[in-house]
Amino acid sequence: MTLLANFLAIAIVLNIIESLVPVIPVPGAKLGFANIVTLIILYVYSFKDSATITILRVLLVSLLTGKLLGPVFYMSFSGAIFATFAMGFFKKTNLFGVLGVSVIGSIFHCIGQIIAGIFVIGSSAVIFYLPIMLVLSIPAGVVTGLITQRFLVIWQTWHNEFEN
Amino acid sequence: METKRFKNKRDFILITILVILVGAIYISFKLFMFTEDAAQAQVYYGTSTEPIVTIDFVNYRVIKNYIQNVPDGYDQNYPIIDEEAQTITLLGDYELNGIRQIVVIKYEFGTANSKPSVEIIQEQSPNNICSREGVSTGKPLICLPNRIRVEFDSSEVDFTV
Amino acid sequence: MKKIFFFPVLMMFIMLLSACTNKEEGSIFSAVFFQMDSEIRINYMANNQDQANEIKAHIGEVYAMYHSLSDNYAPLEEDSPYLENIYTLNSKINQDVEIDYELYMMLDESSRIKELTDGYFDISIGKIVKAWKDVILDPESRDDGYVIPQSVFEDLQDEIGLIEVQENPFTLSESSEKYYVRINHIDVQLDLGAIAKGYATEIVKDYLIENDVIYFAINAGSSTIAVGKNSNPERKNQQWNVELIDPLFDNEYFGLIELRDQAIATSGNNVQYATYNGLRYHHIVSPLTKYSMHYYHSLTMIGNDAGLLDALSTAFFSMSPETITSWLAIHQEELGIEVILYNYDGTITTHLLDTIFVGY
Repeated sequence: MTLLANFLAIAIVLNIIESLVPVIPVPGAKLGFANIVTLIILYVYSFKDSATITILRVLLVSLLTGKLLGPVFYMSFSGAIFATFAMGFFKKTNLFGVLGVSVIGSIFHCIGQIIAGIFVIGSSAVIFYLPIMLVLSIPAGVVTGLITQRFLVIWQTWHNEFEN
Repeated sequence: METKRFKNKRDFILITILVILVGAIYISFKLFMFTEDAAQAQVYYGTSTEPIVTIDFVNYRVIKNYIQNVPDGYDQNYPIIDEEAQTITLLGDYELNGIRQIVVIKYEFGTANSKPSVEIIQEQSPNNICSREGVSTGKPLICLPNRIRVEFDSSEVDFTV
Repeated sequence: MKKIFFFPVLMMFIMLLSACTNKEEGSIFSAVFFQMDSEIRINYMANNQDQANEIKAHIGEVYAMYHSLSDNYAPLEEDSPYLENIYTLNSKINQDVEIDYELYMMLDESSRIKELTDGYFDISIGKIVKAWKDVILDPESRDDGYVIPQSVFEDLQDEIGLIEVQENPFTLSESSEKYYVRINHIDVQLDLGAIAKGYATEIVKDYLIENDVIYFAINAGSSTIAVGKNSNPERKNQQWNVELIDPLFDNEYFGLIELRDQAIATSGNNVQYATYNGLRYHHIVSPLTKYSMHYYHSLTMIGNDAGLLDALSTAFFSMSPETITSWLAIHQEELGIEVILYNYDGTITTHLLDTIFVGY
């Protein structure tokens, strides 16, 4: 349990750090590095745990940065939900490895943000930012995936050793 | 405990396909969207579907559609339209020390070899990200912290008589 | 495995790139002139900046010339290259005055159109028009819809009653390459305001065509427009889309026309008018009755000759719908003239040939 809490803390920090990097003038749009934690929990624990921690993460970050229920919150929340469910689903199908799931999560994270953005701003003009965000989300997803992959391999070795 | 495999060959195929798809989307956006000649630009504030200011490139004029609801304590009646400097000033939602900040939008009518354009030249927001969008001749300018956006309409009309 | 992807990717790129539309050779230039009480905007396609500048300079000269010649508010400048303008002519009654060829031709064309319109177009009623303008544009009345006091109106009626519209207001003559005009009666004051802008625009249009400028649009004060083709790829037929202003409602329009290689002239009563007994009086005065007529609020003429259209748009404003119909029955086909009438009661009547008009 404490481990999960630690993961949550890490996720929050990652989230705050990445929000310092403005991607587009629709603030709240993030690259999705905090997804690393979501992904790890998804593989190490379960989908439910992953979803819970992710939602908690979004809520807490919003509280901490003082932007609860603001446009930034909605976009983060939407992106996180889309990403988490997409990743959960694709992991289940066992079609892809961590890298693939990560990239999928990244793409859906971006789509979720854009959709929320359209509602928040009240205009479909936000869709203009879709292409650039998609283009950025692929390498972001790859990086996230590689980091997670590496982590999981180490974790597994460590976990196995520990168990024995 | 079994060793789980975390890698998968299919990942690479997936990534390649996604790259192609996203690349295609990106290129088609660049080529086809927002490239028509704009006949007017609409400035929106908040969630209103009615533009607060309309910049009419066909007739070379700027129309104030309604006045911004500004709480007591703020100076003037926004939007302020300066036809000489060709700017429109609105009161944004972003607050510095609790005080709402202005957003200044610059417009240019079409001339020899240049399309009509709009640019956000002054505003307060995290990292001043809105004013870094640059000059736009068709793509929407969105400033979320201030809840202001500028959208272009292409139109069927070349002249009015 | 990777090789399989190469081909479709390449295909896609080629397809996307070839979807780029071909742009015409040359760039669009624009110029603005302030002449003849109007803002005249011209967009035209030229091959390079030099050619564009040359064209702009020439057009500027044409408009400046006709502005000077047709000016009826002030005499020519001291260093003017011209002999007379309308202002100076109007003070020389019953004498043969030598004038420049260009002015002569404009007066000649005006006479021709007077005959063509059975007297509904007449540049000699300047005195009557001025009497009306003095009342309508009286410094005391700023807004449109100024109501003319009864005494003022009656004084005006008396004043106009004393002025006769002449059948032969002026005589043109030519000898040994010199051109002359003679104003034949003290009641005659020439006013080219109803034709000069269109006439000059027609000359500019001819110049552009002679210089192989295919894509252009001339917008002279929104009341005279002459266009070639439209290079905007959005316009399927290379046409210019012109929206018609509704004379009764601000910022509203009542229809759209498609124009290509044509001209348009409009007349309306919504720019500076005064009211009397609920009717609008304005600067278009009927040479037959000496009053503004109340058949239409605005009308739009479409055709080929901008000068003719400018004059006709004035003449028609004084003609009843029946007169217009019978006139068109005789002349419409031959001249290729089309008309859209915004009637006084708010209805629209059109006499169109090929032009597409979309009513709103």
